[in-house]
Amino acid sequence: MITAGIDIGSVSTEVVIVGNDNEIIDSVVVASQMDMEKTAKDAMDVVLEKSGLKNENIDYIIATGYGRNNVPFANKAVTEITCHAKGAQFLYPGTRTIIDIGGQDSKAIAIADGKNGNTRVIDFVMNDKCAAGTGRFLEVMAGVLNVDVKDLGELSQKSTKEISISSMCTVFAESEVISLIHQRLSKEDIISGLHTAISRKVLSLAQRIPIEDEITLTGGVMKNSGMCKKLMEELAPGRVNMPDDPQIAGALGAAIIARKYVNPPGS
Amino acid sequence: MRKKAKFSQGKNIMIAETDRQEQRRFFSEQFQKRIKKSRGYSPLKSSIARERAMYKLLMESFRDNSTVIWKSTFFPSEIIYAMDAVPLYIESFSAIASAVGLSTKILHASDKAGFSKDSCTFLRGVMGASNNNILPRPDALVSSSYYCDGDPKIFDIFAEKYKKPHFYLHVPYETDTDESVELLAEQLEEIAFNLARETGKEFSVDKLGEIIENSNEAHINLQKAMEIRKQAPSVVLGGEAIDYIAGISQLWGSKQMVRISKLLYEELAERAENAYTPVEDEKYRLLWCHLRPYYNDDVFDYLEMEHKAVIAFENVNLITWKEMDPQKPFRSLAEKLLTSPGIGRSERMTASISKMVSDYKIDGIIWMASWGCRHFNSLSQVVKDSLRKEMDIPFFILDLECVDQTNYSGEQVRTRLDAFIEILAEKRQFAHIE
Repeated sequence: MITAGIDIGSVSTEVVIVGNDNEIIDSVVVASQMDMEKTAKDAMDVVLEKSGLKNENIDYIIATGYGRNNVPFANKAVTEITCHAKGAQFLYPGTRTIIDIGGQDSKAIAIADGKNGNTRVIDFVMNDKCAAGTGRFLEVMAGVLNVDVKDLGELSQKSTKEISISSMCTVFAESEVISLIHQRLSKEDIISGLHTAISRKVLSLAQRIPIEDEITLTGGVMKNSGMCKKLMEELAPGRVNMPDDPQIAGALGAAIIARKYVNPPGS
Repeated sequence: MRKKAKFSQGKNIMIAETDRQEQRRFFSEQFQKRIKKSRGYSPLKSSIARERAMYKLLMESFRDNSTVIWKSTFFPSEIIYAMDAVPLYIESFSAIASAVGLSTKILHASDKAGFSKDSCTFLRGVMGASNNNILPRPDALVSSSYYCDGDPKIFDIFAEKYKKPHFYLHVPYETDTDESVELLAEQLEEIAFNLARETGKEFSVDKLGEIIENSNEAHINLQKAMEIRKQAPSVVLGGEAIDYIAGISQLWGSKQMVRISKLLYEELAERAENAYTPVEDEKYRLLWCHLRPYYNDDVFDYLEMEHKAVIAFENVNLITWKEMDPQKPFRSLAEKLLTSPGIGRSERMTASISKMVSDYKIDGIIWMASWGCRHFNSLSQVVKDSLRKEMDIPFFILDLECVDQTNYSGEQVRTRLDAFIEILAEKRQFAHIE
């Protein structure tokens, strides 16, 4: 049984293919385009070529994310809430809370134990109206600081001074960062201050659901080691899991959910 | 010479002078559009009657010889009907304006006047409508400390603007004491006579007793109607039923309310007898807490028609009080008001929601958190956390705007509703396994 999950986000699109033994055969992350259908097709083509598979080899495809209803070749659409939960639990079965920061949204998901070892999503909360503290926010700040967004994590960990950033509106935060640059504060300290502000904002959102151990961090922003470090400090002494590739958790969850829709051989 | 009123819809809704007749004509035109608007369902006759009664009430308030009393949610309309005056539940005006597509205009007018955008859009809407002169001018105003702290403040502004008296009802926090009932009853009586004196109307306690009897009759009908709604599958769509807002309707005390409630009960009884359900294959039964978006029906249509997740009941339709004693009208009204679960400690609201979950066989709760509603939003997380200790029921706080259409994102809302339905589905699936 081979299944695929495709997570179409506002900034990036991920595809994960899962094989017979629940192993990840391959995955891909591409930038989302304006045309979501084209994005989905292009991403699928890339991962198929990479894995040496063909469309007909895939038994079931689930689409998730912002563009989940715009994937004509998907068999089903499932929300990113359920998919991230499933993906995180696949990687860390002890997961009871997921904190996800994506390109334009952040969310927290609560999972509870049922009887007979079952677990299920019981609650979630998402940012609303404002994308402050998400991937796009960090991209803008990286631009102001003239650094590559990929380097934010490493740079922040060289910080020696605690800086407080009070603005979370992207425009005001940009002004505040410029003001801090003018005060000749180091980029490392400013970036660290930004990470602290974002982590507190996300956690204030997450407090609206029950936060239980283990906590798994997902989403593209979690590739930023400095951001994760701040979140782990704020969540201490909670046990926090960091997937190797947190960005593909939603697509992975979609591919895992897809498996229950495929009739197992011999059935 | 009279200035010509400007009604060019879509460009300028400013009415040049405060002329109730001009306002009446303007709103009549808007309502015709509303009435002609197609719905995703065939409305009950009682729903049509309710909408017409609301229309008629609003039209009455635009008559030059009407005595119009602006009231906030909590003040009982019975007292106003008893003096042959027209109650204008002022926040409902924003809802009406939103339903007829005027919300952007009136909210913009409020912003232009410097009224804070952090206030709730009901109050912002009223401020903007007043500034655009499309509100029927009041002859007196009466506000209360519950539910909304913003009401008395904005009423003060209007009292100054229209040079009319403003009366204030202080609602005690403690609801279960005789002192609280007495305090409220005494104020109601004092306000009733003061309103009559200030507006030149007659007020008699006997007349109030008769009005109370109307309320009692409607009360019985509505209780019977709501009793029918306990059965599954549902006999009525929540998206339709929520508009009755039976708990706080400004029609209480009127003959129209008696007629509407009787019609509603009879129609629901008939549907129940014929096993008619507006949604075939009802999958889930939801409890909807708080009000609704008034600018469209999307959320309800999406839940009920597409997901088959029927709003089985709405907390605004809960009848919490007992039959009133027409011989003791003020005390009865005070007792009625104090049964509202929104007053006092949060445990009252939790207990009320918990009972509705059980009575209406609820699978999940959607608590609509509307922008700027300090009163209701401050309760949401407390009630959610308390209920979680008591029962395993999915409870989702949905940020959604009641009046301001520009603050509505259909895609965002649908994602949240989809996810909530997935939670309900998974819970049911595991319940079968376990």
